Amino acid sequence: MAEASPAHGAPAAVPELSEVTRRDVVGRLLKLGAVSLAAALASGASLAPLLHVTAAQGQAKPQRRYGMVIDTRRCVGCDACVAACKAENKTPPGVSYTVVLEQGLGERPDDRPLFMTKPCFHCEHPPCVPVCPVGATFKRSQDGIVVVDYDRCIGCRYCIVACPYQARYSDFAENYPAVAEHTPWASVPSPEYRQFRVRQEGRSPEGNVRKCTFCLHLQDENGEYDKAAGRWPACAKTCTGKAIHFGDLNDPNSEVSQLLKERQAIRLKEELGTEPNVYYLL
Amino acid sequence: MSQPDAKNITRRRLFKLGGGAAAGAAAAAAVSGAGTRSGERELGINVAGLRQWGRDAGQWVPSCCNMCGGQCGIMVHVVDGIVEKIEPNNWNPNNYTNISADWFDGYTDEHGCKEGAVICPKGNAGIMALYDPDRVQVPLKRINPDKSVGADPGWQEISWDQALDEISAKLKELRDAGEAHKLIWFSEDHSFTHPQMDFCTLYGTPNYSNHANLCDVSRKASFRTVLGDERPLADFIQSRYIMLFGWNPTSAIKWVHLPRVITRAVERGARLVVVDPYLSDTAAKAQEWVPIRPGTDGAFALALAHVIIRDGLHDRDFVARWTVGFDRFAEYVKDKTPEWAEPITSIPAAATERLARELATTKPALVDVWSGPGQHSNGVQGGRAIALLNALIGTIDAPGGMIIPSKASTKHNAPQPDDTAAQTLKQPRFDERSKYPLSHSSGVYAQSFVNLAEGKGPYQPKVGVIVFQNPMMSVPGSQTVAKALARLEMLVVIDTMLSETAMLADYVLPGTVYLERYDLNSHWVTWPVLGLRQPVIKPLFGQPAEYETVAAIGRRIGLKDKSGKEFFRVGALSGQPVEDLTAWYEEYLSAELKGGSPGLTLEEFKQLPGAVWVDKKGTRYRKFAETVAPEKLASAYYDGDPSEEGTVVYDRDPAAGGKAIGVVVEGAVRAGFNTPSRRVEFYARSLEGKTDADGKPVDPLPVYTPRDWQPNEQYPLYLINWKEASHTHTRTFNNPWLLELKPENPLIIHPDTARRFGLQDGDEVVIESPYGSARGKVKLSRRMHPEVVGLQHGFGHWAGGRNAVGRGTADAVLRPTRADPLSGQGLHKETCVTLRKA
Amino acid sequence: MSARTLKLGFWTLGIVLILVGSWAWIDRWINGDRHTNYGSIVPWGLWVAAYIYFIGLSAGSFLVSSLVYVFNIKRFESVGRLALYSAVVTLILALLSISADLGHPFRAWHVLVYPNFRSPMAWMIWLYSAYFILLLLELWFVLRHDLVVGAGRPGWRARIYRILVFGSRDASPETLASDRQVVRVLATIGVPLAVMFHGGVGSLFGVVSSRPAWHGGLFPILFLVSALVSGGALLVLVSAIFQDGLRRNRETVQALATLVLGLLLFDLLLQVSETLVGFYGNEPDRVENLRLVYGGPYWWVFWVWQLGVGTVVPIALLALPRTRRNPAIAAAACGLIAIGFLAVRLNIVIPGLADEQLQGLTAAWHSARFSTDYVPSPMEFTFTAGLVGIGLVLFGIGEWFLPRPEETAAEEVASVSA
Ligand SMILES: Nc1nc2c(c(=O)[nH]1)N[C@H]1C(S)=C(S)[C@@H](COP(=O)(O)OP(=O)(O)OC[C@H]3O[C@@H](n4cnc5c(=O)[nH]c(N)nc54)[C@H](O)[C@@H]3O)O[C@H]1N2
Ligand SMILES: Nc1nc2c(c(=O)[nH]1)N[C@H]1C(S)=C(S)[C@@H](COP(=O)(O)OP(=O)(O)OC[C@H]3O[C@@H](n4cnc5c(=O)[nH]c(N)nc54)[C@H](O)[C@@H]3O)O[C@H]1N2
Ligand code: SF4
Ligand code: SF4
Ligand code: SF4
Ligand code: SF4
Ligand code: SF4
Ligand SMILES: [Mo]
Repeated sequence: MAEASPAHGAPAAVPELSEVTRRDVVGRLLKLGAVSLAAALASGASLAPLLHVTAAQGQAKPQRRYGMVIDTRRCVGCDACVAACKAENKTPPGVSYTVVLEQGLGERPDDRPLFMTKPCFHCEHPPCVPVCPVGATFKRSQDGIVVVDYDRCIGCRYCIVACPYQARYSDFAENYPAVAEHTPWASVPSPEYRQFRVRQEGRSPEGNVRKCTFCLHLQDENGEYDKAAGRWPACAKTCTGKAIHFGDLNDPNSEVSQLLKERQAIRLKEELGTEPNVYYLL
Repeated sequence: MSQPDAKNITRRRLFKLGGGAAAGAAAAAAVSGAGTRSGERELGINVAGLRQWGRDAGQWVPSCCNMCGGQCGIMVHVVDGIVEKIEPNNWNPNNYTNISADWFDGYTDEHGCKEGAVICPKGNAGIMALYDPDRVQVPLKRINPDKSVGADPGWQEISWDQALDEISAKLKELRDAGEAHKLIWFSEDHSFTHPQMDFCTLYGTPNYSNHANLCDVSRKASFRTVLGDERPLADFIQSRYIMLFGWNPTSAIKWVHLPRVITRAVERGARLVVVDPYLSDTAAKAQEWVPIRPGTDGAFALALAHVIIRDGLHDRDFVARWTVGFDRFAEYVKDKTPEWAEPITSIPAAATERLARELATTKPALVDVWSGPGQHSNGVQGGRAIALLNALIGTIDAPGGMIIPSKASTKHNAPQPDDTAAQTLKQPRFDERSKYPLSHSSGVYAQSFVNLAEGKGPYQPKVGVIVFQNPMMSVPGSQTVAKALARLEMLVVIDTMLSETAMLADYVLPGTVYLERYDLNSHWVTWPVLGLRQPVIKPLFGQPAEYETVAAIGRRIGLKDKSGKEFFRVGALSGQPVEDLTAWYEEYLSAELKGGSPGLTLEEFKQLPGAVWVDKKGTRYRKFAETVAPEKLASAYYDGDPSEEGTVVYDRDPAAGGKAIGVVVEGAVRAGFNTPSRRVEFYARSLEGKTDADGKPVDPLPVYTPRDWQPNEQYPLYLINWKEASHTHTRTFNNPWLLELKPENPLIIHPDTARRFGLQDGDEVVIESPYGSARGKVKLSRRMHPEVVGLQHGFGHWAGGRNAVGRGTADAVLRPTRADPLSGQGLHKETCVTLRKA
Repeated sequence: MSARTLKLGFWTLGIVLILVGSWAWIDRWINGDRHTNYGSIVPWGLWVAAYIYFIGLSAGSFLVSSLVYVFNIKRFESVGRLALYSAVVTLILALLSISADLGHPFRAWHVLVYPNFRSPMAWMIWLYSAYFILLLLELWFVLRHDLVVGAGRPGWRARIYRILVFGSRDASPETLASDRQVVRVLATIGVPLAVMFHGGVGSLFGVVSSRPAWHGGLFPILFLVSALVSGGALLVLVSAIFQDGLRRNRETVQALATLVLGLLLFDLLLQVSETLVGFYGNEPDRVENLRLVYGGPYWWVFWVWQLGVGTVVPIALLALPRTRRNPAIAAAACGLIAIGFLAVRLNIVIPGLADEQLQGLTAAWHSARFSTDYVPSPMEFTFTAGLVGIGLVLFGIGEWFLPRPEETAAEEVASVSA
């Protein structure tokens, strides 16, 4: 078997934010005498209180606004993006961070379809965020990516109700046969949020709401993606029509910004004022 | 209650699409500061997990996909012996484009293709095939002698040793009885075919066949007859006018570069016209869909040719220099007017006039065809007429036209049979291939199964081996296949799943998923590219790869080549016995590579970026016009006057086995085409006096004759089928990721037709043909020609895994088991049906 | 049928339902949401509907009790404590229902630790936590005197009373008066609290701009009115059967029933106006939603259950001269109204969600969890049936254990005369 080629394996420095296990949390809490809290934690399998790490202070980080510009003329409706997302994020049955819509085009006499892949739009004003009773879902200030804190989420699904784009999914603790029957695949964790969680009965993200993360686990320590090294949203990477453009909408030189300048783009349900960061080129 | 009227529906659609006035304006407004409502907050990460499973952990092993026959390059992330993820291989052109200029633009050895290569949904979902818990894990032996469909085989799990011993013993017995030819062998057409062919040769059976004759041998026959190459490839991306006949490349993704090159062509201004009874997903990307009545493509192509010639729009230069038989063809199409074609094809004459003009006047243009017209009984002649349109517009082997690919080669070191084998090899093929004047080396499955089922043919086979095939669902007429297979004394199936075919076997041997084995793939792009498939993990159940199983049986029987060498034991390079089967095969491949275009050993090959060998010289165009090197002409034989245009040149006297190497054009010996005349043939003299498998004379002109099966009162609807990006043939239907993309295959029917049959959207129906009946669910869509119904191929399993069973409709049960009488192509799209509500 | 057999039947039904439901409870705690039928398109189902139903009953009952404890309306005095008790019981059922619905019920405390002040749901949770505490306090002060008096008696009940008095021994008229004072204050705080939190439940739906079926200012009001109707109706039923019911509360039942009828008509007015505006406005998603309610796969939930059983029949019973004066029939009619409101809740929650947010969504990707079709699973049904069982048993316990004012009065009279 050949070794990795450099482009696929270029190592990226890993910021060591925190390295806590559930046992640590419970242990520390017990020491603090917070027995009942510990018990709750133990049963709820929550890493929440200690996993939050505040970003380093005083470090002026450039504000990015990641987004997608999806070219409907290039999209052939192949669904490779859907499968790639699944392979990347190891999502369970019932969860698919993107789906490919097949819109009948108006009243054409031939029912000709228009294909469009639909990840989370990482809205500028995401209706899913304010409704969350525990602030488990939030929009990252550094890059505008809307995320879910699995350890905080209580699974009320209010955010699903509030999202106008049906971009959120509840994890019903279901498993594909390859996982349910304990093939080697069952031990493969999801790299989401770099939390590398292996599916385990009753543990997050089971019972949580999940959504597209723009594959932020592929960012380097500076919050940047690297297309050449394969650190790129899985759906965009595999897209057979090369219809999915991804990048920083705040960077006027990025491919996505350029495309928006040059081409006619729409966003879905503009009337709601959500200001999606995913655009469609017609 | 108020019913939203049509206007409101439109408004609603717009609403949901986010269109309307707001949309355009919003695009402009955009780049303002990112709103931050929640404070700086980070989610914790799992560093241990990252170290173990992150992209930098483990290995990225380059290989090739085999979820379909596309063989695209993949990079496989393997951690602790577990396949974590499959991604595109950026070094493999097959995953990006089919012409070299496009490929080398931005290519670096370090990163491969700049824009990044791609893989399709099935390629991404390969993991689920590998880790499918329903895979066959150990050899199974049938206990129940009742081999009817649906009977419980009473599988008994046996050891590999027992399985191989018993199978080898039976084979040896057959061979020792001088009946080696009574072994019939069916295999897939790309994967590890060489060792299987070698086995058949050494064993002594002429009956090796592979699935190409289920696939595109009618296209092969058409193009071979016309321009001497079996598989010219369309240079979509440089074309300005693309006309596709029954070819659905953005969805039936034969190679994963197709969606990109086709949409890019359109983006760059090409006009895409799709001729198809169904508005396929490719037609959805086209500017124009030309709905055609099935099996009438030939008539339409002739009418196009008529207009082009009538109006003098053809490329006179090309036609004069590089074709033969034009006058006869022109004469033949004189009355093949658009008006003549209209009642045949249902395409309005005016549209044909316009399309012909567009095709001939937009340059460069190309016309391509694949399974649509080809899988009907008149497919070859229709295909010739279509192929010849390329000759009329003069874009053969030119940028933006139909390119004759230069393939990378591997050297198949085919063994010589020993005397015993040579004896039985002289027997005629059981599939009566010789009856088919334009047949292909892959044989004629349909004829084999019919002969076997009906006890016909030159003799009765006793043992069958089926590797990586599911003829019960992929050969037209499942009933015939079932009957045929039941007549064998022993049937061995090597499959990864308990397929419908495996359920009829006496022995089922576990195959490998492509991630567990080797292969060399000479890729279908326009210049030489060779990719390696290699085991990224050891076979999950410790099973041998298919080629090892074949070699192991060969060893047990003690097969030797002519020189008395134990072929399946002796290393192909070292000449020394190699006991380990994998090592033996590695040497086998090394020898193929050493002797082929790359000239590298397997180990050297693995070190190439992405484990792909790419000829840096790239795509060559107009190779036919290249002059033949003078040294090659030293002993040349001229079949006529060397100074006369059109004289065919051989390397030596053809009577003494000389091979044609060129043709005199414009006063020089040029390579020409690989046809008997070395030029493009409007009229194929080689077909003069030939008869087809039905005994009918073959016309050297690409004449239009109606296909066998026409709708009648009892069966008024054409039944067609197609492939979609989500699945491969009949083999991906237990894959849960892919089933989420497409869980069933409704029968698509035009709303007007549905009304005639009293059917509504979602109704369950019984689909009936004279050959069988099947249940289906109708879906109304104006994407379908009103006289036609159709569905995606591959569904309707009754075996093959827990998720596969009971979904959708199989159409093979509705077909006659029939091959095209010219090429032996399986006719998957022939027959007509009627519908009634279930 | 004798009262005894009635009672026996009541208890049997309650216990059977609990037993049936316990299967679902166990399943829920072992398998999580796995055996539920909601998904990612209809993320809320029967349990959420049951939740807003029960919580509506609670708020409604509570508001009726405030007629006694805040506004001092004598006519309803006899059912005041019963109303409070109903409010507690139904709130418990509501909380049980919603906790089963949460993907991570054991994290409910996160709402306190990680408050999001912009979330209507967070507010709702805080408000009903406060409301719950207030309810318990108020009930305690309402009962304290009777408990103290009753604690002196022999027997099991008294023993429990002795615990429940939490050390209080004082049965003097002065403390009773001060209890009444406290109750009045608590009840006065409780009214806006109940209005806020149930209005809050309404706004939880109303604020969701992506759901045109809910989005609008009327939603909180509608929730309040319907809470009053359903809570009132439940109370009528309960007071007709609870602790000598009709014998004691004949007049009150009759009066309350009239009030319920009035409120129901008002509620109907609001609903009709919502519907008409919806259809007239012709906003596609809105119309789609209404069509789902009236003509979708669950048309019968509206036409038969909500409109027939829950509205037309009871209105007729409460309004027709032949039946109007019979308190037993009035109680039955109110029972129908109370049952009918579960349909109202279902018709809010499910059709409001069972529409594609973007056209073609459910054809874009295939999963049972990605479908607009939702029918509660057997597990969901039995779970909810179990809740009803718990409700019945709690009422049964209440009937046995709640001190009856007339007993206290009798004892006090006795002790004075002794
Ligand atoms: N996703 C996916 N891709 C595949 C495969 C797969 O299984 N799955 N298989 C691969 C293989 S082996 C092959 S051979 C190729 C085949 O690829 P295609 O040649 O595209 O094969 P089909 O989809 O069978 O048929 C193409 C079109 O022909 C139309 N058609 C049917 N009858 C007629 C007719 O009489 N006239 C005309 N003009 N059109 C007609 C059908 O509606 C369909 O749209 O796909 C390859 N790619
Ligand atoms: N009705 C209809 N029939 C058709 C067509 C159509 O369009 N319509 N298309 C035709 C065409 S173009 C083609 S090419 C043929 C293809 O037909 P086949 O070559 O028969 O291909 P599949 O139907 O996919 O069956 C492949 C079998 O191999 C097994 N298999 C998969 N991977 C492996 C492996 O790695 N190793 C081994 N040992 N086994 C494996 C699968 O489980 C499956 O049972 O079908 C033809 N049949
Ligand atoms: S698309 Fe939905 S989930 Fe994504 S940010 Fe917007 S509202 Fe939230
Ligand atoms: S499901 Fe989780 S993320 Fe969504 S609103 Fe509820 S707590 Fe927040
Ligand atoms: S960006 Fe990543 S998470 Fe989002 S849809 Fe694409 S692959 Fe999935
Ligand atoms: S992979 Fe690309 S082309 Fe295929 S469906 Fe997704 S967006 Fe469209
Ligand atoms: S087209 Fe798809 S399935 Fe076929 S080889 Fe390529 S990636 Fe694999
Ligand atoms: Mo094929």
